[in-house]
Amino acid sequence: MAGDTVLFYAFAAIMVLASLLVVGQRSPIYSVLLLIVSFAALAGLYVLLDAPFLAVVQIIIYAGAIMVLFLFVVMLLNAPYETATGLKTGGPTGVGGAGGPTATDSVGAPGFSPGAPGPTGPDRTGPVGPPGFSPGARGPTGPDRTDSVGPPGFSPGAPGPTGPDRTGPVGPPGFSPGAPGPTATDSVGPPGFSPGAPGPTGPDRTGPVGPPGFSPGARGPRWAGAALALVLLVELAWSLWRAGAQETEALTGQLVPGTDLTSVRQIGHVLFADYGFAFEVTSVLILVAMVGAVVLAKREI
Amino acid sequence: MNPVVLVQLVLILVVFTALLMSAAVMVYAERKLAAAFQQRYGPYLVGPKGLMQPFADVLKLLFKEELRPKGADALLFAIAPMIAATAAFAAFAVVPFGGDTTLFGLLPEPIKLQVADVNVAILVVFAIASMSVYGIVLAGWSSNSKYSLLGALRSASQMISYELSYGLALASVLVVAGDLSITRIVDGQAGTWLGVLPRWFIFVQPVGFLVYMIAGIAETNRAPFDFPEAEQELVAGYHTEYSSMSFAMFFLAEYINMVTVSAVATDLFLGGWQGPWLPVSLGWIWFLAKMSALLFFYIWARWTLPRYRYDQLMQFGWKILLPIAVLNLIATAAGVIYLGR
Amino acid sequence: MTPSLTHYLILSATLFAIGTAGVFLRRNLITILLSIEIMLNAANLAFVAFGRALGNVDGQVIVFFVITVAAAEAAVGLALVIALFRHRQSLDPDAYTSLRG
Repeated sequence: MAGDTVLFYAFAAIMVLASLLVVGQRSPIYSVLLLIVSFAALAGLYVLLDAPFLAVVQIIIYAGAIMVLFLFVVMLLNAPYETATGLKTGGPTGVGGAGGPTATDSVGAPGFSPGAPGPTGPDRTGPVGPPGFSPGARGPTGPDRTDSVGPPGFSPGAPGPTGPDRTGPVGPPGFSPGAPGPTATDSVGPPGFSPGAPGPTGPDRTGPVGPPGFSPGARGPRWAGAALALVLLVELAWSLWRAGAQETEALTGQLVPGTDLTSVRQIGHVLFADYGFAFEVTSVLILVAMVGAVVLAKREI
Repeated sequence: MNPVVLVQLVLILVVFTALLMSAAVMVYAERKLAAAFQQRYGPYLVGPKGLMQPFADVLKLLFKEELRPKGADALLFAIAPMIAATAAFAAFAVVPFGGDTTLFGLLPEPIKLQVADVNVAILVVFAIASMSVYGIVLAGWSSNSKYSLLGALRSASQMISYELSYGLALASVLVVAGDLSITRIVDGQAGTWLGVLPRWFIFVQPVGFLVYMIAGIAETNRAPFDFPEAEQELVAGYHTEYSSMSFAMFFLAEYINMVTVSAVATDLFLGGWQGPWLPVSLGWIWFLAKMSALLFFYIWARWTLPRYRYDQLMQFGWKILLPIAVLNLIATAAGVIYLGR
Repeated sequence: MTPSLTHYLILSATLFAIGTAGVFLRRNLITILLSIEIMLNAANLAFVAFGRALGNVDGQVIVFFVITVAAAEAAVGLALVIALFRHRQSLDPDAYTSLRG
């Protein structure tokens, strides 16, 4: 049927294009959004393959929940995007994104039990907040923020010349709660190990960023990676062509009598009858993953 | 042109226009009802009894300047309200609002008053509702402002937390009804018990209905769960930096989400378009009546109840509502097995 | 021409290769996780296509499990990324080479 053909090629083109852009372009936020587009096209393909229930489930779970998780993490970490000279933070315009939540509010991402929001305002001397972590660089306000600030969290604790005491490096984040002055309301960043000397503050920062020994831009094996992927593509396509050639008739042809592929009842029956054990095991897996994720991402245990 | 296709197009147009008008009506109703609850007049200057007030509001919004903060990500800033509005409209596409009708004999065969009849319709509503989270999150992120981002993240995490209870309440109804297609669920509520009490699922699933409405209110970010956009808290949350038509689109999206939640609740729990004294082809009048009752309940809740604080809100969603929804589902399933449908 | 099983399978192979390229080529932990998701979805597509071709719903059922496992893996992977980020403030996999010997 011509409609199906057009739709197939349309969805396939969208999927391939979106996936290429996910892999190929720099900003992680756009990558996540493009992947959502790709999943929507995949859901369309599932409908063409007589699996409407699966299409809707794909949208609900993958595009609606997992990608929201990715988006949250990207936003909260103010994820740096790669350029030829190293990592920059924030959006592709180079200006810091939203800078992350300040330490005065609780972010309360899902799964993080909110608890007490903690003291607000410049009196903040206690812990930074409930286990909703604060992601580090709020970035300096004012004219100090040039492009070469470096990955977040390194934006060295002096967010510009706002306080008269802050002239030198104040050390890695996590050491300045309770510092007086209006800068104390800034996010103190995640506590943790001091990752080595942060180096000079402000726009002097032109050297390599990151822990010692880290050299961004090592371009050696890149083309090898691309070549490997190409080889993989050719090999997969050839082997699947061979496998599918014998079944070419079957796609539009006879279905095994008695099965209605679109019937949810049928799916449920097979799921719970034939795959009951796998279902139970997967449930336990999801529970373990959920507990593990919360424990891993919590600030203190 | 094939008359069926033509009718479908007209139906789409009618539904779209009706949704837009319903947003306008909701704006007016909200302000008038708020005034009534607070013992004052509400809008009464613009048109007879203030009925033209929503149009005045729209005109004002149209003429406002469209602002964009300097550091905002232009593309995301522009498409975020579009995503919110599109998701809101699209979710209503699979909701049936009337029984078989031939439009008083104009048509050769009866059509259902539903833009798209999908046999997994409930899940489609749920799926598109979960896409509306993105409109909010992207709005907050792209505004390059900490209030927006915080409001957006809070709002998004609230929405996805209550989506669980929402889905479980839906699942309870599905267990009772045995079908995923909303049309068939409504048909399953035909008839009465003992000639008096209609066979609506609200009587079979009272807890489910409560869970659904509470989760629905939280999903649409309405009071008492509207902390992320409360004026006293985060300026205005994720739509702080928006003005003019973009803001209007968020507003529109919120109202249409309310309408969709009420419409789905009417279909699932209150028997849809069935009611006495009217033939099935005029059932949409009953549907409107029931939906209006639920929307009144929405507005009533907003102007009566104080707002939940954010951590109270999340605690309620995870620690109270979700276990209730799960237990309801288990009890329903047990009931269906032992008592039959 | 009407899409047959082979079309779907070639599409699946293409997506899988794109995902693999992403895992090899990208220097950002989150993008690597996204590329892994692309690969998983390519496999899902192959499952559903084969299920349709062979005429039973097992393909769809297996996709359920794959989606569930992918959700678990994404959650744990992102939690790890967050925990790692707290230590090194970097999303570059080359920054975490302390075990290199």
